Amino acid sequence: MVAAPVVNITVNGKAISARPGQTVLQAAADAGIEIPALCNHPHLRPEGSCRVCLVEIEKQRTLQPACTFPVADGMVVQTESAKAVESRKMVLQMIFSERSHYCMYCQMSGTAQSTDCELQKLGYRYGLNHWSYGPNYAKNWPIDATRTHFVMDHARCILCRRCVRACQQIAANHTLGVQQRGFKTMICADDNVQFGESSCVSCGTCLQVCPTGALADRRSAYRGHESEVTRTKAVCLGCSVGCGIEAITRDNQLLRVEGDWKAGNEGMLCSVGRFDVVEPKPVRIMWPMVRTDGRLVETSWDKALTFAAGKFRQAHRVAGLASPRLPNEALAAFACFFHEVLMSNEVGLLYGEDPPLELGQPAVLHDVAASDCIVIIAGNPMKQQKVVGHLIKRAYDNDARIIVVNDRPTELDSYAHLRLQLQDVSYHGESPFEQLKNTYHLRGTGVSQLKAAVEAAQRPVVLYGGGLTTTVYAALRALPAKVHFLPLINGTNAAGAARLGLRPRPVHGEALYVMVGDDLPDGMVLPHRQFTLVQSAYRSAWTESADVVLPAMIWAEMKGHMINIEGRSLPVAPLLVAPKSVHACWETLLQLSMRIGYSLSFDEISDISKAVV
Amino acid sequence: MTPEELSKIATIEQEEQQQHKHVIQVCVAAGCLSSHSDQVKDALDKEVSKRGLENTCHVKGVGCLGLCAAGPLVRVQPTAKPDAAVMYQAVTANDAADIVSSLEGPPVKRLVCPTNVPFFTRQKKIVLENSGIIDPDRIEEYIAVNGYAGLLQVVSTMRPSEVIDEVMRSGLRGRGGAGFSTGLKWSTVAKGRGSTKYVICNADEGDPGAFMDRSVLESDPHRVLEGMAIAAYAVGASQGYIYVRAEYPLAVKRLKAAIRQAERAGLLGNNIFGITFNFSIDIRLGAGAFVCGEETALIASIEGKRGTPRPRPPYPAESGLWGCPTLINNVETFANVPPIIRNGSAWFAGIGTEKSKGTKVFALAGRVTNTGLIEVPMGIPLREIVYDIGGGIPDGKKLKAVQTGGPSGGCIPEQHLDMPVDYESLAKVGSIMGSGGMIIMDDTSCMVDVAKFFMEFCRSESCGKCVPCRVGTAQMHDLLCRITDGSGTADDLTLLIELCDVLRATSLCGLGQTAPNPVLTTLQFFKHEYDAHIQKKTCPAGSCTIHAPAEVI
Ligand SMILES: Cc1cc2nc3c(=O)[nH]c(=O)nc-3n(C[C@H](O)[C@H](O)[C@H](O)COP(=O)(O)O)c2cc1C
Ligand code: SF4
Ligand code: SF4
Ligand code: SF4
Repeated sequence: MVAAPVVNITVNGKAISARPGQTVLQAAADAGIEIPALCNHPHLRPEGSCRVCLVEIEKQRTLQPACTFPVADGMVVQTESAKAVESRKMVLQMIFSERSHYCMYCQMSGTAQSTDCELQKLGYRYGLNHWSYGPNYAKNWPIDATRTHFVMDHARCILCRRCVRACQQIAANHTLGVQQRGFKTMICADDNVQFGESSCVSCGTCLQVCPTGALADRRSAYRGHESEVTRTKAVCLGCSVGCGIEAITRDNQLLRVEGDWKAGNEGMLCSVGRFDVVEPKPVRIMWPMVRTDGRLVETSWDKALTFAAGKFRQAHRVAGLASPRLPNEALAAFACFFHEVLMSNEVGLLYGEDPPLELGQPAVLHDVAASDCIVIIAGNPMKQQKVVGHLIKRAYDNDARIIVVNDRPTELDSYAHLRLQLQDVSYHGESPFEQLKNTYHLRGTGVSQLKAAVEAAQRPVVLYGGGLTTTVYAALRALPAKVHFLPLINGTNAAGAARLGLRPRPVHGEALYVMVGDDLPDGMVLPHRQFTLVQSAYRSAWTESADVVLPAMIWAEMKGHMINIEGRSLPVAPLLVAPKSVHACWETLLQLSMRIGYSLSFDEISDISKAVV
Repeated sequence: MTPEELSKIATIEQEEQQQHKHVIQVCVAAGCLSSHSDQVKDALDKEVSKRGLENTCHVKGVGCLGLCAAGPLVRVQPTAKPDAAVMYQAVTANDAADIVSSLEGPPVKRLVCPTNVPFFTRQKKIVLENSGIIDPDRIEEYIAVNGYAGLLQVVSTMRPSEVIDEVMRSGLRGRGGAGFSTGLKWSTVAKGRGSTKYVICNADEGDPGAFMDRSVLESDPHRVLEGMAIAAYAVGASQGYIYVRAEYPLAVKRLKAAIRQAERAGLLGNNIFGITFNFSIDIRLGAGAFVCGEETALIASIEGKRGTPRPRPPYPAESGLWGCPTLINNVETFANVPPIIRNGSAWFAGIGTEKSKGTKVFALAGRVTNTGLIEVPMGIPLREIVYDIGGGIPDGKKLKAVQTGGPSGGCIPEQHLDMPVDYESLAKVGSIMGSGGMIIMDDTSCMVDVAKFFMEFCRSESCGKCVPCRVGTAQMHDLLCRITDGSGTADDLTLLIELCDVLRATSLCGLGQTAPNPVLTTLQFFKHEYDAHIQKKTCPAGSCTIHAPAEVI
């Protein structure tokens, strides 16, 4: 084994071993020395434009930007020398003077300790209590508030272009750009249209990287500084991608959600995961309700459960439907309740789609971004697994070949180098015997094209949806071994549910128990039965048609696990404390089982859910 | 193309030219074209054919003849006695008959433009040697004056490293502004990693008032192509780009035609002169931003991105276009290469000063009698350019300053007029050689106003990416406006000086780093003018409108 090569440099008198190819800023950061910078962001390619990170490097005629300057053996760097600090102060003064930084009106502003604004923080750090240059307040800097979830205030924009680079390099959406030049330079969307009319998909990646108050989240603005809030790593339950999030909470309220840079989604989120979760929701159900004289009337847990237990006991057969948004633990308890307590197999998912797993080597999210050939068969990731859609576009930007196989038009068609129909890639078995031997005959010409493309690639990835014919899956299984597969699962935890034997299916029985958690109907109608129990966090068309309604936790209150499209088990951590009168699903089920006469034990449920993980 | 074919083209062309008794050269470069030299040429053509002289008199369009202020220029040259050529100035279509009538007799007196004056005699033409002589639209004429002989010599007798050595020994330095050693740059690219390399010709020429590169491209485009091909052979590139401003339609048209002709002749393309040397050239049009002339911005622009500079290292020579080693030189730099190869590095190194070799083309403008394009040996005293070549200051006014280097340069005062014009001397007085803009100013010019003019240019042309340049130029412009309108204070001046230092020290690219130069040099040599505006609320040159009444102070 050859030891990894090191580059020895000295920063502020401290000897540091850097890796070749690192920048001075990265090497210093790894050694715990923070070189201030505004345009630099660890997840964006550096561009050296703000000039705040200028440092003194021995043998260099002028100050050099630490964020782009590569380390070299023997390099001696001073980050806080008189010269570097002097120039840094001047540059900060220039930034402050350029637009209207009326800090007291800004949601980011705070004290030296509490400010969330990276510019203001540096102002404090370098003791700037005024600036000598003429202010530019006279100008009316525009505010663009045409997007639903967040606002752009040009008065606070320092033109660091983090947002532009995030939109290009991370979201691969290419909405943001720069218009004009010189002192007229402005950030703009597309060909300088209003954000609301632009190609922006409101993924909010730009918002997450903006160092100042220029991009402001409508919901979380003015609701607490970083120093006053709690950051918790968790998983987004918006879809089956299961993006890593950092939830920002305060006083048991969810203020904001950011993408976790260290998770597979690499900081990215879609508008559902970032913004929809903090949008106003329908009325929360706080207490059980029983239909009395045609109206749902609030009642105690005991009364509602006893009533429902009686109905279930009477029923010849009870059917159950659960939302795939529920974690494994809730789903396991639900399945167990039906099998062990109600002795019914009529239990399934409200909706969802889980394509067969293990067609070959499983892919992780990063494989998609790093792939040089992506095949998307059925499904529509740009709509249903949006972050995967962004990863595909990122690969496209890096010259990956994109092949779309679908009978319907999808948003990915404009990126496709090859567009095929499903029948083009179906193998047609000649005889059962030959099928057994896996020797299929070609039906469509597409198979050879697909195969050739995949074979020519080094890191091919196939994304596939559900509901395909076995012949298509067979064709996929026959692809070369280097292919990695990612199923485009619909329904957040449909994969976990499938492992528990829960799938979307018609269920039979005169009584129906629907466990929806915080799911909402979105136009979906429940089958009509003699008796219906709906356990739901919110009032909706589902609860309005129910005979008994029980409260449920919302995603942010639940604890447990989900299985995402990569097949990984992800912990669902409680971010908020549920109202006192709202209990976890499994707790309700235990209580119900007691009243029905077969007492489930907690251990039984946890054994089942553990088996899934 | 074989060597024999090349010399055959040259011979045929020379013989053909000998058949005409006279050749009438009409300048059809942009300057004279703007005063309708195309109509003059048409009229001369018609006149010649009307008199049935087509076989003895050849009328041709040529590139810039130099004295643009006196255009349209026409030159009549007897083939047997080239030295007896007569130059006519301010020619109109109506003069055609008189000119043709005079071919066998005395010249048309009223049109004669004397050429035995210093404007012509003090110049030394290398880059412009063919300007105004050959028809830029005909490759044969370029070949007839030894064109492509340098390329032939290089590919058939020299190894790439020998070519680089030769350029290195010539002492040629970049004519795009910074004056970096061309040989050194070539050798870095030659050593660069990877088999794909690029050669780029920087024809963005954004300095206000500069038109040296345009003139070369319009008058003698093949010279640039040949220079690029020699460079490509030396560094190992097979693709070249010429990045030219879209505002130069004529240069683009001539370049396109020249590339097509060279390709057809096998002087560009595959297997040039029958050896395994391939080199093609494409044209890329610049969007007209000054900053796109900066090499990393130019490369970004060719890559289809927004033309903004990026920090160096890495330098384009290591990682340039699409991440490949890239040689980027100015038009004039490439135009110097063929004669260096043909005549040898010693010949070139014999011209100029110790550290600045060869000649430099300047666009002489402003308050000087002879404005136009001039080429002078390096080291020529500035005074000689102003008073001999330039013919002095008109209207009995007094010279105040010479501005070189455009917005990155400085204003040189009268007391330094005897300094030699070379890279080092110019730097010593705070200016730069730049790409070759030279503006003469008389005592009616306010030096604060001049500084303001260039700062206005910089604040609008800054790419807007880095803070010091984007904000600093705007702040400096505001301060200069305050001073020129009489509301400036002593503190403003302090701030202005402070900003000069910050911009120099912290800007990302040359634009911001050199933007303070006009302010710094005017402050150094004309501080009293700033003081007059600030303290006495008056403009010594009388050109600024002062708002604040003098009594206030
Ligand atoms: C703001 C700015 C504008 C420039 N514009 C030009 C230009 O128009 N033409 C040019 O040849 N070089 C220009 N340069 C210099 C180029 O960056 C580069 O140094 C030059 O093309 C190298 O060629 P040379 O070595 O032959 O001089 C500019 C530099 C800066 C900083
Ligand atoms: S962005 Fe920062 S510096 Fe600007 S107003 Fe807000 S807190 Fe102040
Ligand atoms: S909006 Fe924010 S991230 Fe974008 S350039 Fe302005 S300050 Fe930087
Ligand atoms: S929200 Fe996403 S798509 Fe919209 S501008 Fe920001 S990064 Fe680009």
